[in-house]
Amino acid sequence: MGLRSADGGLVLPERVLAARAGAAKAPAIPGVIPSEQELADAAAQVGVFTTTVGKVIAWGRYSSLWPALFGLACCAIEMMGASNARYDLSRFGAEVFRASPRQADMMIVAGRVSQKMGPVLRQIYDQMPDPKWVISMGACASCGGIFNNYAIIQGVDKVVPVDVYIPGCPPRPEGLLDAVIKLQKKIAATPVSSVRA
Amino acid sequence: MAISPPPVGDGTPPEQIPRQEGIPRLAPQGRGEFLDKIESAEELMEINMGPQHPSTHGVLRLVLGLDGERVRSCRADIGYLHTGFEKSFESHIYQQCIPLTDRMDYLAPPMNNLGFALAAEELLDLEIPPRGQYIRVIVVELSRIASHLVWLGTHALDLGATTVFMYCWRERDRILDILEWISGVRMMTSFIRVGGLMADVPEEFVPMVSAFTTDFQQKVDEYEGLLTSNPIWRQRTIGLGVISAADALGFGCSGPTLRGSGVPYDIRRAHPYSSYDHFDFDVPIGVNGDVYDRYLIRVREMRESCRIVDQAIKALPGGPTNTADRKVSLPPRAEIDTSMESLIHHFKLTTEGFRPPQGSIYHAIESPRGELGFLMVSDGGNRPYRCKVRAPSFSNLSALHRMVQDELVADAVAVVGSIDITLGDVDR
Amino acid sequence: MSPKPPVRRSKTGPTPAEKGKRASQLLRRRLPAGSVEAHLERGQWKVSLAPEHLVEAASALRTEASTLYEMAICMTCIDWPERDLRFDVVYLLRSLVHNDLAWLSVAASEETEIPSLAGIYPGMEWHERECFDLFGIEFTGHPNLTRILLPDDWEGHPLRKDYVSFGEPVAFTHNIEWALSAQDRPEYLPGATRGAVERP
Repeated sequence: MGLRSADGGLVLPERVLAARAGAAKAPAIPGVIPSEQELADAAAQVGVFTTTVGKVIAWGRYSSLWPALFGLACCAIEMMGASNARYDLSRFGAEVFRASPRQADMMIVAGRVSQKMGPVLRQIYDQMPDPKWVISMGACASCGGIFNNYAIIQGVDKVVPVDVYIPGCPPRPEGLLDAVIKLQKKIAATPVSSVRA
Repeated sequence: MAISPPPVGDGTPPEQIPRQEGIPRLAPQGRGEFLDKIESAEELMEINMGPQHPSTHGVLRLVLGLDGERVRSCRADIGYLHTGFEKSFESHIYQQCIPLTDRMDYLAPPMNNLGFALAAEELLDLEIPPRGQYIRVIVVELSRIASHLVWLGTHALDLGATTVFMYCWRERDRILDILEWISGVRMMTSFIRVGGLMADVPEEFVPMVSAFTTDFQQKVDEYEGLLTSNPIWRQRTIGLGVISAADALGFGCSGPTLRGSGVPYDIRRAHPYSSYDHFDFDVPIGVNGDVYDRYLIRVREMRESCRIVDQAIKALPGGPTNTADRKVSLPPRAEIDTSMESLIHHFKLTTEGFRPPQGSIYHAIESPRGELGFLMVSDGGNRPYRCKVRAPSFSNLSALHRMVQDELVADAVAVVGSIDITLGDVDR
Repeated sequence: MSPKPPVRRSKTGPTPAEKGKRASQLLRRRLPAGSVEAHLERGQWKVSLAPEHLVEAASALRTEASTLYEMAICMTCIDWPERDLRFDVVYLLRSLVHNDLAWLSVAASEETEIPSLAGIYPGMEWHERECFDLFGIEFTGHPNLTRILLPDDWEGHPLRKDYVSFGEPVAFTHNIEWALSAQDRPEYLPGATRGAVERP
């Protein structure tokens, strides 16, 4: 609309160009924004080796993802529908919804997260052992959805790191199945030795 | 095994009900909430149930004070799903509020749509044509069946009956197929709008609904065959979670929670809306006010809703579905090409919306949980000045501490399930 | 044979053309003259009272045989900020026997002390907590007047008209940074560090 110039490139405001030209970087704040050195160290720790053992381990991980029960609102009903007879989620190994987060390795945040629920969400995520993945199901979990107000956290990625986002309000059960499949592909591509931050 | 206290339909104050020996009574009733100072010699062990819990049917936190296995006090901590709907209503025009209402009681979204639409239509003093009213009844009763199926499936799952969970979703998926066929969306249909419906139903609607109602009664027979005479189910639910009629009314309980205690009150009968007085249906009433009675009532309500849908689909009249008032309902597409006035109406409706006259009304409908009411205040503008939603689950849940008093902690799960709360409704 | 609960047609009286008339008549009789003001709007009688008569009115409405409003429907508040007494606290009560709905309204300011009806209708306890939470109205004699829907340390009362409900800025051309893709976005976005770092 107002963004594209005649040749199809982006027209950016001046302050954006100035910021990029000046290469202004956010100064490091301990614990909040990592410095360049810390980022380089973390990258060096990620070992990249793909052996058959690694592939087998990854196959084992993605074929039996156990979701932690975190159904909050309407998306939880479609999540229950996805685990039922018609859109069988157990075909993908994710049938066993564990009530205790200590026995789960995937958290499907299904529904809107209110301000009161945010700390609880973080606590449940912290209680899950590594390796763990998060699927943010629905528009409210991904970005706050239609509720852009005081009461809803605008996206759970402000609280926990998310691997797969599912749009929809609520997404169809097939959408959840698609997200699980995408997550499985992501796990297959992830080196086994990397530690989840 | 649950103890069965004598039926308490006569309004006996709970202090005077004879209890089994050896169970001390902690404090006078009326302060079933968490007590700051313990008035008896035992100390209560406080355990936390939720907000992340498989059996609280949403994000509900219960702080139970236990004496051994007995629940002496129960404090419900809600607000984990507070979305600020009422504030959002004040900044959206009336048509934009309809999709918001879908998400409140998310197990029966067309019910919320209908409540809001009827309240706005009462402010506007509008009458909907009979075809629109009948289709509204069909959609709403189908969503009542869908909601009760979710309740039955999850309630049975809490008590260990996994098969019922699978069976209920089989029927629910068929209802969602019908809703998807007419509106495009499985759950949050926004099909019922102020002034009528989103659009007229396609021609496959009647055969699909008739096919559903034809064999639904046998499916309910299947569920009842698994549960109603099952000795395990009966032992776990009879005599549990009793609330007297007087208590239930004082807390504002409604719906099956109130009817389970013997109070014959159903808004579809008391204040009929949207042509409900044209249909012949029974309203099941309970006797004891326990979990088993509420179960029987809801199962029977599913059958009665199926009867209503059957009658409505057979007697479906022709004609328009939306009101002819072009200041509220969009003109048909063909008219916009030929009539300037229709074009202007379309433009005004989609940009500004309609403006009900000043005033305030309260309109209630019978949702699967009870009395869902909308207190709508208009200041003459195109947005609701204040739209208070009277949520049935909110009032039903406030009576929980009375129902779980002195029950085993394992039975608390059954009682919570029997009230059929939806946290989106409680917290709004 | 599975036992079925007895099914009977619920006996309801006709819906009165003017709802709430019994309430207004009873309160006019019971309360001091001039303290009750009632008007009919769209078929509903709405009774306005002063806070000091509220408890007496509610217990009379609940117990009198001619009214018997035993079901507490809800209570809420409407905020009219340009008025002196900005809050309009509304109580709705239902009588099942007479098939009637009573509408009581009490005008209050932020400092008015409204007595709690939790002793008469236990269901009002949670509704009054919700009113306190979202509007900031204090109810005297309430057993547990704390926040119910919002976290305990929340500041402000959201449903007041002067409370601006904030969310997240939506990207338009004047804050285009929010809409850019990751490659084109500048290193840090305005507001991204929540004030921890100032923009250069």
